[in-house]
Amino acid sequence: MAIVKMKFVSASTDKEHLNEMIAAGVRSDMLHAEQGSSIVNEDNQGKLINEENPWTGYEQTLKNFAHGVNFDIKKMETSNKIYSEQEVEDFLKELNDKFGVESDADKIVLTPDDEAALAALSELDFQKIHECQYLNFEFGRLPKESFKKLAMYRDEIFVHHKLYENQQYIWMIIVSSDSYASKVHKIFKDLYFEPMDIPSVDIHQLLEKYADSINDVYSYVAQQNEIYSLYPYIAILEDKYTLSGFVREDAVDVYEKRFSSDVTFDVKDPAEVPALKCPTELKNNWFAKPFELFLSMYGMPAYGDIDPTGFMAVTYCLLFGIMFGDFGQGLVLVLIGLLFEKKNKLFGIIGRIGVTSTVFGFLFGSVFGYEDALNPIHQSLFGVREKLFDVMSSSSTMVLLIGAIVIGAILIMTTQSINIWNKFRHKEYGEAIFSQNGIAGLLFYGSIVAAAVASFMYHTNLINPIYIAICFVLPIISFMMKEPLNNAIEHHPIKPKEGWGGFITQSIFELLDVLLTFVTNSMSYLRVGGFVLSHAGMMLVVMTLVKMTGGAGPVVLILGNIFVMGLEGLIVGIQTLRLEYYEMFSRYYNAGGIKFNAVTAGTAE
Amino acid sequence: MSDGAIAAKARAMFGSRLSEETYMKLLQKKSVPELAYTLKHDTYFSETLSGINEKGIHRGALESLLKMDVFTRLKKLLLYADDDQVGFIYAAVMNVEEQMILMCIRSFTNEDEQDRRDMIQKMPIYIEKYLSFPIQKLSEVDNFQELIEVLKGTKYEQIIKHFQSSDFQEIDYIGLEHALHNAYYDVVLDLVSNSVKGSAADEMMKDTLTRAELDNISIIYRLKKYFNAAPEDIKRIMTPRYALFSSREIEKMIDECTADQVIEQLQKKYHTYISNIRFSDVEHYTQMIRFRMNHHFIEYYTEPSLVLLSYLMLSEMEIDNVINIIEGVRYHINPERIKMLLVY
Repeated sequence: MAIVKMKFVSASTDKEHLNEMIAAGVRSDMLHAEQGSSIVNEDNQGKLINEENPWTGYEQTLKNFAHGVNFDIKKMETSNKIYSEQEVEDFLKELNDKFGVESDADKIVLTPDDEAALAALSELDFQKIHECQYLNFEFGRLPKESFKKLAMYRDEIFVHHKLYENQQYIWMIIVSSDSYASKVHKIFKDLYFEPMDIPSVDIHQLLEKYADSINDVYSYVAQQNEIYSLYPYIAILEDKYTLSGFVREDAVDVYEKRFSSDVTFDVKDPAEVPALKCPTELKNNWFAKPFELFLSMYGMPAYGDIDPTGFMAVTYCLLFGIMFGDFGQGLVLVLIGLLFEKKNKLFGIIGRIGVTSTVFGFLFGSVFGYEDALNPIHQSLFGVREKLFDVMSSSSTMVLLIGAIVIGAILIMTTQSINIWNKFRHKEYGEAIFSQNGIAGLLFYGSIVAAAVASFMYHTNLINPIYIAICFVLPIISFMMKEPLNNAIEHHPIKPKEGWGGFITQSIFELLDVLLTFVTNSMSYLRVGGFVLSHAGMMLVVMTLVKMTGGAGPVVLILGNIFVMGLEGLIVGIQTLRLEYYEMFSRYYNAGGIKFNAVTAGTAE
Repeated sequence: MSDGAIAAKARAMFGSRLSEETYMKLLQKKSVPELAYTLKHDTYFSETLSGINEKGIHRGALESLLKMDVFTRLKKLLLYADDDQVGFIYAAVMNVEEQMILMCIRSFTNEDEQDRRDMIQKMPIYIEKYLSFPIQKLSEVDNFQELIEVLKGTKYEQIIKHFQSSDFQEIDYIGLEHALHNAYYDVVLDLVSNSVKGSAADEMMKDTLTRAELDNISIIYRLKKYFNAAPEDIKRIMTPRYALFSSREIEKMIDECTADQVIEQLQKKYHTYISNIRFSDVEHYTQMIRFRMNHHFIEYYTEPSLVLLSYLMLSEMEIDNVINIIEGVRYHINPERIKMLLVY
């Protein structure tokens, strides 16, 4: 439950070893690289690489070629040879000459059906077709509807041969003598014939011969392109080419060893490069790790801030467990979590909330909707008459709702405390002391809670003028005067920016908002109690249906449980997430960090 | 099959028609391949167009597939219909028969190979089995005798016999076209009166007669506006079918009104359907009336024959819209001008 310590590492080398350095940096999978433009400034008088990348064009040309001839081009780990730009260009020219296929991007691409038709046509031998001097060949596709109309031209002098067909077209070769070719062409044109070129060579045979060299050249070209595409990450400082970025503190040594001896390193603490935003990598234990998913959806914490994943994991599981308490359904969730955790973090979360769901289901005595199933165990374990806590009993309703408010109050005060601690860590004393989530807020809200507890539980009235003055009036003044007080602490002029008149008017409205927020935040937790009742209510409906359906009861029981787990599980999951994001995070957590992303070949594309 | 089924199915199919948004999207396209791609992937024509090569497809082939789609839809609906309603498919194909007969006469009288090829190109083989004569035989016809042979026993035989002439220069094409058109309305009206009863029959009758009446008004307007034609010439090619206008009113219109007054009269009679539409083109105006009338029938009636007929009309208009867009895009016509032709 922490944020991994980082170091800012700059690797430098000369031009000759630049590509080698980039390749090592990319392959290390440890560097969160910074753009060269973020590194160079007027002070260091650095420059950026300003070179054209020819390899993008070569790679695209080869891909287009492969697509055009329907060749499954493969990128190998490393190429067998090193090619100069001239050698690659010669190779592309050779392909063009041999295959007669334009590899430019705009070329019409053959569909798999066209390919199949061409394969059928290749049996006639393309070269022999082209060698015919007095016969004219046309190859292409004819709409099926038009094919039926050919019978109406039976007197015309041409022959046609069907090669392939799909739902819409028939691919065919049409043969006529040279003297009739023009007329035949018109007939087919009017029948919406879509002509295609007859290749001069049999591409399939040629491809077999060239396959290895195409793959080898492509692998080299793609590799070079990857390296060139990372040039924006390079800054030229004092004639040295520098690749900079953040590396985990404990991995710096391993990272450096990935480079050759021609590379030198400069390692700094992130605080020494304030102009660059240090990325955040979370480090959590087995239990909290899957909840990083929810955290990243909200926003990563800034480097040096607190990582709320652990607290979130505990409170999420707790709240979900209470709202979705069912021993049997909880176990099913655990099982689903265990089976699929490796596929997606969400299943990890499902497994964990399943545990608390099981625990609360046990305490509520509910198993797949059977509310009495655990009564004997409850009676022997807890010595109760029926069960420990009967959710559906009318006497339980108020207990549940008050309990939900209590949980809410505890969570609000806990999040305020976390915020106070965090603000002190960052030396933001004004926020820590005077804000609604600072000491003043905690004192105000805590005092209300304490007075309520004393009154309801111990029948003691804590409210007296001194209590009101210290616990209510003082914090309220503090909320209103937060800005000038904060200015005073930070040795700035005490007068607010908008002047005193504007400030007081604004403060009054803000105060109303703050007070209202305390009320609404607390009420918001009522849903925890509400969903306990809702879950029990839905299962009651399922059990009633089971009884009504007689023989089909077991099927209804299974379907009902699946339905409730799917629908209510989703709703409760979302509601809990809402409590986390709106009621808790808003009090103590400011996202604003960026995620650690190791640079890879595709990063710059 | 219940009567409600066919109406429900037709309404469901009509519900998935092209929306204004889709029309606008189509109008933004710059080429036929782009249009074909959008029609194939983003509209309910995807089933009809599946398997086409949108990069290479010919405009005519695309239009032909879209026209075929109307019959595919009709066949789908007829699965829910009884024998009386199945007759409507024959009414739907009659227009096509009429066009093919006229094309055939043109091809052998002109003795032009291209005309013959055009006729074969337009021949809808996909509805061959619903036609009243063997359509493919038209490609072998070289004179009236052979044509009458092909049309033997059909309602067209006597019409052609009446208009045949050994001197091709003397053929009364307008009269022939008029007679064929009249025959079409005879068949449709017969079908309506024999297969449908009650208020739906009245509405169907009204629908069919309105079509004839609007065709008449469109002809009157165009002949007056662009050809300054004499009343006698106009009367000669009128179909004697009336819906909201009486025969006297139409006659008076032909005798006394200017082209603009014809539109005024149309607006008065059909104000329910066109009160909020600005006049730009007579064809578009009359089509809008038909669209709104059929739209009303399909929404508020359950009589299967009426719903079927309305759905057929609306589908044809939708296909015409798409074809207008395809042609407009192909010939680089300003999208705003194409938009003015759309009926939806």
